[in-house]
Amino acid sequence: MPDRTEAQFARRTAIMPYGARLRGLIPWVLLALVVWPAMAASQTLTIYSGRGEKFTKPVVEAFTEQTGIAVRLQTGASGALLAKLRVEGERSPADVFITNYVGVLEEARQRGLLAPVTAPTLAQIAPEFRAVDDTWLAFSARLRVIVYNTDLIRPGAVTSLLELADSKWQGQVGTVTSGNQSFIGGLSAIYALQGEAATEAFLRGLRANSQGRVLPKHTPVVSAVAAGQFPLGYVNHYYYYRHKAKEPEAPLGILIPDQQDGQMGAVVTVAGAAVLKASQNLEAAQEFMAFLISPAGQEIFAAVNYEYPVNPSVPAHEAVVPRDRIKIAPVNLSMAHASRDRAIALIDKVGLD
Amino acid sequence: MQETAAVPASWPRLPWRPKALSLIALAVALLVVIPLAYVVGNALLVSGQVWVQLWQGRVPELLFNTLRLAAGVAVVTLVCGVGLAWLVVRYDFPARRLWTWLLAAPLGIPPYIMAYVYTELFAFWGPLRPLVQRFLGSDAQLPALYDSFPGAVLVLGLATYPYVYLLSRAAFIRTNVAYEEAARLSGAGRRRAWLRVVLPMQRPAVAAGLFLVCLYVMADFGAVSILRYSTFTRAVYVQMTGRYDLMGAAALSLMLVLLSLAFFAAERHFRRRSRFFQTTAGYRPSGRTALTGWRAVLACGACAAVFGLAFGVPVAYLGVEAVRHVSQGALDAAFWGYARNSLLGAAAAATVAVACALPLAYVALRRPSRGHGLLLHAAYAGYVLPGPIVALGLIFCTAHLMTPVYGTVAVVVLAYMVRFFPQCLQAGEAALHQITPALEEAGRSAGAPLWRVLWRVTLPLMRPGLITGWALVFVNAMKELPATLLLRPVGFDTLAVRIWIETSEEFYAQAAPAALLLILITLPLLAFVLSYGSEQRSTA
Repeated sequence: MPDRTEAQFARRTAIMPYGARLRGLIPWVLLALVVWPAMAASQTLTIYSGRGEKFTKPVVEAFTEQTGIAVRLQTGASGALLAKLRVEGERSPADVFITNYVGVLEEARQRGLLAPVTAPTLAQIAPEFRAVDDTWLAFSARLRVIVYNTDLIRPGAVTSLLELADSKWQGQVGTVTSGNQSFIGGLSAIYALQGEAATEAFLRGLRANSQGRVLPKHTPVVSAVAAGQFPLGYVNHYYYYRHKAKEPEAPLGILIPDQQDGQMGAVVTVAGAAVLKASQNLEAAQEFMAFLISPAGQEIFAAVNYEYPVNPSVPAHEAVVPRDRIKIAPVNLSMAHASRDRAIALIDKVGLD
Repeated sequence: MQETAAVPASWPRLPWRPKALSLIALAVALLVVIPLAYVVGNALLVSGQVWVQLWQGRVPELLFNTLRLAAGVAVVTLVCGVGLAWLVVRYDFPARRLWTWLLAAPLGIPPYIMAYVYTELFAFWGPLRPLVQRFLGSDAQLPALYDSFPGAVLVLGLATYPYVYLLSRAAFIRTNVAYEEAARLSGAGRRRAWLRVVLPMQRPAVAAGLFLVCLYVMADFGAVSILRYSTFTRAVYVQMTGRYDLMGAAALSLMLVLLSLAFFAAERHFRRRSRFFQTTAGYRPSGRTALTGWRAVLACGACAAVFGLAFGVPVAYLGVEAVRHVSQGALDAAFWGYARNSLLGAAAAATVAVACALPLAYVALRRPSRGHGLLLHAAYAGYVLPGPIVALGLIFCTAHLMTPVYGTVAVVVLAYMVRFFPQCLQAGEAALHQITPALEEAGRSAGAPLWRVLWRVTLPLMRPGLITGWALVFVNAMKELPATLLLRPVGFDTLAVRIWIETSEEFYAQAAPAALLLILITLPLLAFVLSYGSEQRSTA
């Protein structure tokens, strides 16, 4: 580089009015570029979470308080986070992957992204809540249930999820859009239990009974049933308890379906977590997994969101129907996940909203 | 422009300067083309059988849906955008100055918010139904916006017409009224002069606006997801996140890119046929015809109707929601942090984009060659890539090749630039189009080096266009969601990310205040951009 001459200097000052404007931003940009990587460089546990922040944050904070390990929580959509993990490969900064629906973890497992969970943690939960090779585990469970308006329906008018497809309920069933992960998860379980023909009949009936009035999320389904716009609704169990906690007087009832002899039992979907193979922080990651399953962690899921803990030593929230009084559908999570593609194909075929 | 300014003046004159600019343009194009390269690379790995399956499966339907939506939205934005721009530039009516910038305000509303508010309003549980039933009888039904073509056109048309409005308005202002007067003096009526002289001169700007709108619609993810209207972009997302098929997603994205190239060719064709340069020497702005009586009422009514639907309704809805929740303590210190992150990222992206757009636009227009044309094409081709795919491409490139940068805000800024660069490029190109090369040649023949001519002649003349470009990138970066969601460093939550997090688990407490703040932040900026344009006009 030649030395700057007087003439060049004069030219540079001549352009100051524009240059100054641009230059005003440079310190900010530099500051941004320096500060954030510096923050990122400290030794902490990084969690990719496809679960709502409201549900993960309390657990993460309790974990940090108990162990002193700082956590960086990255919330996103489960499927998109899985894509991100795949593209990042071994460069991923993530240590733990939490998803609302365990099927995403099963996909991650099949792509070799997960490391096994340590034995003492696994030993605390039943085999049906773990991956076949122990690389992921479920930490909370919810039921697919029916809510009903107590002014319009008497208890016992419906006993099974499959009855929601009955033609006598035409236009009377409130349900969430079929793109919802819980809807797909529940449907995959039904498919695994009942087979193709019965699942298709269920979808066709549900389509007729909810035609044109499918709701985008579960909360409005429960609200619509409480308001009498639908006598029946098909949701996850905790939406009922959330609504009741806010409005105890609402004319809203809950029915745990398929409990009678010869019926399939209640369909369960679970949220899960796994340690990533690319983690540079395996010890802390395993510690976090142990905390999720520990009574301290499990109680938070029960308390914050009325979910069923998977650790048998921790009772569910006192408001919810106790676990031992519920007949659970005999379908293992990997099995249900194997039916997922077929279930989605059926949704497309039937043309559910 | 730092680079060009720093080129030593003592370098040999002709053969070197253009090459230096070309190299800068090449570097910019390479940066912007990263996600496209990722898509092409992945799509090449897709087997022929899968292509056949995709083609025989949903592709024809997606193609039809996407094109139909783009065409529908183009018509809506053409009518609203050009019509209103003409109205506020050439006529005087009550509160004209206020309307001028109010009509650009919907630019601050993210399409996904627009879609959310309108689906809520029209839903059978929404507040409109009881009203309609009271006036039209209890059997009256509201049309469902879900999965409906008119619903998608309405929402995206309202969200995107300001692009056409802003670019047309800038073009109308720059238009020398002398041409129109010449037509009138030669005996043409008002309408004929408009159709034969004025409108054709706006063709580059209007085509530029429509092109932006069409590509924006094709790349939109948020609004079509909420409306459940299946376009290519939505299918790409489903393929990527619902079916865990990254290669299939890349293949579908590539089809989207090819489709956009067809649009690009059409727009270029349009533009090549109509190239107009204007000299500032004889420039006179047009006068305004004062509207009175029912004409004034009509003009105000038209402005009010579009503004009300595109801005008033969503903001009022969010306002009601926000008031309900702010009392529950939704605003805290973290909230202002999100706003700061949004501002910082968007401002950085807009600045970088403007600086990068200049050399590219310049070489493409002033030194047309096959290579330069290709650079420009490449920079546009990435525009239609869905946000999540852009994010994956950048993750792939930065995580493996630029490890120190990965996970920093720089990648987010780069993503904004990649996604919205063409808007800036388009504005810059349109501005450059109307500056005659004769002015630059005059400067050169007077002995000034190229960079100096650029600084002292070209850039000042382009300034309104560049400021518009800056504002477009800024506003879009503020609203950007899918790429931010995947690329943001931990803790770097923006307002848009916050809205997503708040709504995804059905707690709306912070969503409405965040959306409202996001919209309000962009308002003063738009006001500034527009008042700046007017000032240019009065001093010109």
